[in-house]
Amino acid sequence: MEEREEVRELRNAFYEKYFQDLAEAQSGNKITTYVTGYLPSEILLAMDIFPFYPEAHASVGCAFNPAEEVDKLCRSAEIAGISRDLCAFSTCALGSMHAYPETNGGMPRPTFLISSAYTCGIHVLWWELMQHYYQVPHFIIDGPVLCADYEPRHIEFFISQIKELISFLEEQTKSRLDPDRFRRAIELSESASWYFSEILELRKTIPSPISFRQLTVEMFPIVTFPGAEETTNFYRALYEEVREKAERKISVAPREEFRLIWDNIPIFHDLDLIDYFESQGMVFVYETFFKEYWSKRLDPAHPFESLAKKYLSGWTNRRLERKIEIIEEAVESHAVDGIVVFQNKGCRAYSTGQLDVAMSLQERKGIPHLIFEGNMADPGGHDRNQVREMVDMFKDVLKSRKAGRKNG
Amino acid sequence: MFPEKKSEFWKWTESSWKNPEADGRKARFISVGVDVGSVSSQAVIMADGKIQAYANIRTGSNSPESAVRVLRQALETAEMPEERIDYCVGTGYGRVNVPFADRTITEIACHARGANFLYGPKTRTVLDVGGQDVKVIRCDANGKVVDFLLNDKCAAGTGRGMEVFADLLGIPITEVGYRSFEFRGAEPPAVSCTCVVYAKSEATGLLRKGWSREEVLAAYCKAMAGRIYSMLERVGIEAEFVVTGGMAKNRGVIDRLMKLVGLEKVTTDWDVQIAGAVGAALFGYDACQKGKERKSGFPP
Repeated sequence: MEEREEVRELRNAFYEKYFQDLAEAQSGNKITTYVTGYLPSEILLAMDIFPFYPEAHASVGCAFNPAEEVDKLCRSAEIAGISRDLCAFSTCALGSMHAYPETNGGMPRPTFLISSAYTCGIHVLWWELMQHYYQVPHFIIDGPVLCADYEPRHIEFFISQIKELISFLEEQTKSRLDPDRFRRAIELSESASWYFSEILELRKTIPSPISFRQLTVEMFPIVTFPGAEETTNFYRALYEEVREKAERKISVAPREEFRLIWDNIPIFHDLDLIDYFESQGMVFVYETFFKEYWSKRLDPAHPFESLAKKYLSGWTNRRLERKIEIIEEAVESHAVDGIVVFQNKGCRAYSTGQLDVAMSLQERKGIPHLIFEGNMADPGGHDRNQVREMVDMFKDVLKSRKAGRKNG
Repeated sequence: MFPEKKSEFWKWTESSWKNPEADGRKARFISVGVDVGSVSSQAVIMADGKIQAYANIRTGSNSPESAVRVLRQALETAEMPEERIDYCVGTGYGRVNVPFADRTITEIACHARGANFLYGPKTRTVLDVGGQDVKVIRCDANGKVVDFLLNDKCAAGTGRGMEVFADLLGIPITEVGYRSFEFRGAEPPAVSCTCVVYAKSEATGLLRKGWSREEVLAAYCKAMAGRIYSMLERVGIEAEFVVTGGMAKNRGVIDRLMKLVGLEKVTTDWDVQIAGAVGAALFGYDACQKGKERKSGFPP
């Protein structure tokens, strides 16, 4: 099925808006902040502040540049004293600044910095390094590390942090957060999340109507501009297209023989690997990365509370038992045959506990897993051929298990 | 401390064998399995599912050439012309480089099937320690894979690592197994480094301290056994537990590993280094029985 004209137009409209804002930010005509992966950017958009995501910048760079170029960025970071054993997004982004100082690695210079302390341990440290580079104010949103599900005291604390952030922003921009614009940003973000969430839900249908690879590319708007009209419009159109595909049983692969979960962040420098899985009849129908971050909902009637609940419940801030429950539910709801456990050396926060989840799934649900190591944004040590051989081996396991189930 | 004459201690002898009881001329189907690994290559010729002959050689820098060479060696041993082959399956690290294969099948599928043939249908856990990877395979009574774990990122615990040590210590690779038990007193502690390169440095230091070569070898074998055991624990060990691959011939590692595993060692008279090629040949035999034909001939 051909892509709908409306999807193409609205995607273009989003990127036109995004690159226009980026150009203004790069020329110093727009208040700009660097934000870490998962924090209330809705407020920033409501205040006409451009939220630039170095992590998204790194992931896009990996996805659309040859491996040699990405390796060059990582080496540049290493030369600057930044270890390749740390967050791969940080090595790529910092590496791009050192490799291309004349353009600051394609990144606008920030007016101030905002990081979060509840998603991973690196964010704050990375932003502190950038504060040292740029000599601008740095606001850290604190948040509880949840050893259990969030309680009222966690929500209250995070709301207080959001309000502190707003005070900081008002001081930095010398302007007030307009309540109407704030409400509108929340409504738009909620709509975008609804559409994105529904797109993910449609992958319960057999065959799945949208691929892991396409979602990796199409997630950019909801990551960077949640709360922008262009984002919501695009996902509405995409949702309608995917819904039609689901109704017409259009599959992403020539044949969908096995349905899989991908646990961890995508491998941005080898998205072709997803195509390889699909060519072998193995289709990803659920990823913890999309489901447990950007499909979280908001309540415009309770904006602060719902922002707190959304941003505190990212996957890396979940307790292990809850992760197991979530994945077990996904196995049932999405008719999953196996799980691919990508042990991501570029993000230890995400990779912690993965083996426990996989072993539990095997013991309790009989779901087999494929484990392999790699790095989401550093091609060093990534043997494309060997990984694909392991994919073939995993298919042997899936076929045997399926035959075993048939024979009772 | 070191031998005066420089020799290639890591080199092992290539071999071939013909089954005196099998007569391929009377067979309905001749199937061939070719397993091209990073260090060694094997070819097995089967006559109606029975091993007729096999060859085991070192893989050179050119995998397709190694595939041709090992097959030709096996055919020569079997006294069989190439034209007689009804089906050929390729496998191994370089399986996509078996240019004359009618089909390629994954290493784990072939090793599981091959182990099932060589050791028997009670086989449930297969450990294959090859030249540069370690595989743990769980299989069912038919030799079908139900789970696996592969370590392909580190040479520690692999045949290549052992070759490095054999060369360092000046002990022929074929002797490292029994020589690792030839020392007096208690078993030395394992070398602490998991990386072969750093373990080599550590070993040099131990030799300078006065350790015998055999004690250093024991320490390395113990470390390798421990490393392999961690992998086994991750997948789970179900009896019967069997070992394939070149490392199966190294009792220095395997005997120490079996102590950790706590199960009785299962033995076979077959050369278990051919397990992958055996499995491939069996898959070839299946294809023959289903009426599949060869797609192409062999290179000149």
